Amino acid sequence: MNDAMIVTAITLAYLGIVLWVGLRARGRGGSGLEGYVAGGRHVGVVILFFILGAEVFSAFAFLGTPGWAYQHGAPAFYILAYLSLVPITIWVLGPRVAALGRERGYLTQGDMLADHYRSRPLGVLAGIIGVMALVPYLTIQIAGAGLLFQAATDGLVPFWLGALLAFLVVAAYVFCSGLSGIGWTNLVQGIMMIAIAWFLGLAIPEHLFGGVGEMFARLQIEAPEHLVLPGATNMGWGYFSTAILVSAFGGAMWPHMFMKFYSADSGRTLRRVSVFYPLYAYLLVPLLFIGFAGALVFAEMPLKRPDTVLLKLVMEVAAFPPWVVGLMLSGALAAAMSTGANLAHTAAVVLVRDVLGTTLMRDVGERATVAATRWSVLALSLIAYGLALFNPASLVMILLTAYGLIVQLLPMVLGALFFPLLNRRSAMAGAIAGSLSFLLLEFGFGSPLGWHAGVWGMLANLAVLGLCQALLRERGAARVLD
Amino acid sequence: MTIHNKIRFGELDNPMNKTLYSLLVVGHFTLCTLAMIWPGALIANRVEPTMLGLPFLFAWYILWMLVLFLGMWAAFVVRPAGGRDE
Repeated sequence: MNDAMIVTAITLAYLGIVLWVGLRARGRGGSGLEGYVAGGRHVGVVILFFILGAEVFSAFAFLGTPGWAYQHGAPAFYILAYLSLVPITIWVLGPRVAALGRERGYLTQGDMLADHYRSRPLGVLAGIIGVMALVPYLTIQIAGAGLLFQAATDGLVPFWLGALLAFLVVAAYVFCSGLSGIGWTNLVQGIMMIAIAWFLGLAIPEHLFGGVGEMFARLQIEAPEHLVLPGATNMGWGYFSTAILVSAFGGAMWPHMFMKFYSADSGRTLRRVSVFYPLYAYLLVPLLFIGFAGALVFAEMPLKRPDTVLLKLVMEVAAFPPWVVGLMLSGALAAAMSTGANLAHTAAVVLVRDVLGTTLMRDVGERATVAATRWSVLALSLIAYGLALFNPASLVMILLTAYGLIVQLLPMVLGALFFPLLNRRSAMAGAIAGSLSFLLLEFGFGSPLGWHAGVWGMLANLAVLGLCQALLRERGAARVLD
Repeated sequence: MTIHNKIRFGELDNPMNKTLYSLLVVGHFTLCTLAMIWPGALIANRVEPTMLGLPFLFAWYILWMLVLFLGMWAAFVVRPAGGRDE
């Protein structure tokens, strides 16, 4: 039995366990739509912690975090900063969103926006933006799984087959078990990822340099620019700071975050989860060690793709035995699949409920809606798989764009939660102005001062929103129009 | 007496003024955010002194992650008077 086969066997065994756990959870959340979508609103703190945490550990985090530390150095601390700041938004918005959801029966972001602003088009708009942002995100997970399989098995499992395998497992358990399936598998996957990340993060510096402290001592001599800002690639303070702000405060606008708010059994549970949320950032620390190790090892001949630094170190430099490679592959796949499961589930619910449910499928019963949601999970996963086969590299760009767009929903959501006087026309005009100016700066003129373009989009958003609000009030029409 | 009871006892006996509570929470969040971006991180932007083998800037982020967690934990345990998030 050669090495590639041992790696493949271990990984297939792991996929089998995940599938078994996911299917076993079937039916625990009740059989109605509320059960499938929001776990019957009785998801406790432990499982909710892992569901939210699984979104943190995506394929991008597992491969991209070391990639950033290797390529840029200190600017990779941006990941620690934004992750630990995300719970601020959960703390502030979460309990209010959860309470409104229970009271009015909301299941999606669009539900809340459409109902609060009494505007069906606004709900559809939010739904379309959500699905458009989620599908590329899902594609990155699928492509990540394919790349991992291909690299770790030396091509025994090719890209297309690896991607297909991982996402058949995900689609199968999300299709059958809904959110309960995601919760239980994420419990397994979360533990797997944490164990693998810490093992590799400590073993690689130990193996190559005799320890983490010794590694940083050598970096200080050989590549000190990696250890302080602006880092090895001269990233400015402006970009670093604004990227943290956009990611930290826009992160909670993702539809999958929002829907997990509804699934909490109380606002208290959400706050408890957000208290522990900064600790997720600690889990990424060993992945940064791996990237810094790569900065020393590959100093002479830089890698063509920085995101492969973890794979290269494990496979070629450290020469771990095949069972370690198999476990590493399982851990990284766990990261891709658990995030993928959440994304597929959310995209399907948003598509059926916010976009189709208010237009084409308006008079369809609950049973048909659940069925449509399930089939959408398969359809959207398939679309993402198709996109992954085309060109995985350029999708990171699409994701960054989606991020800048999704942030533009923030004023609208804050208005629905905290500012009852905000008019729907102002909210919509602001969101459109923000999105357009973001796209123009991102793809046309370039962002002023080198800041993250999402910040300028947000400023335009708020300016237009404020202007419309003032004009409408002046005409005395604000209340009449509502 | 369980920990849970002690927390409830403390809450009933000595609820914190709601305005003060909000100010403290907002202040904590603002402080932690500014510490991690410009200009807060500017003062920590150096390698020496290393802490537990980590460069100072790295250790700075590790430290503020802990501060954020501890503050939020305190805010969770000490509830404001008339809190309605249950």
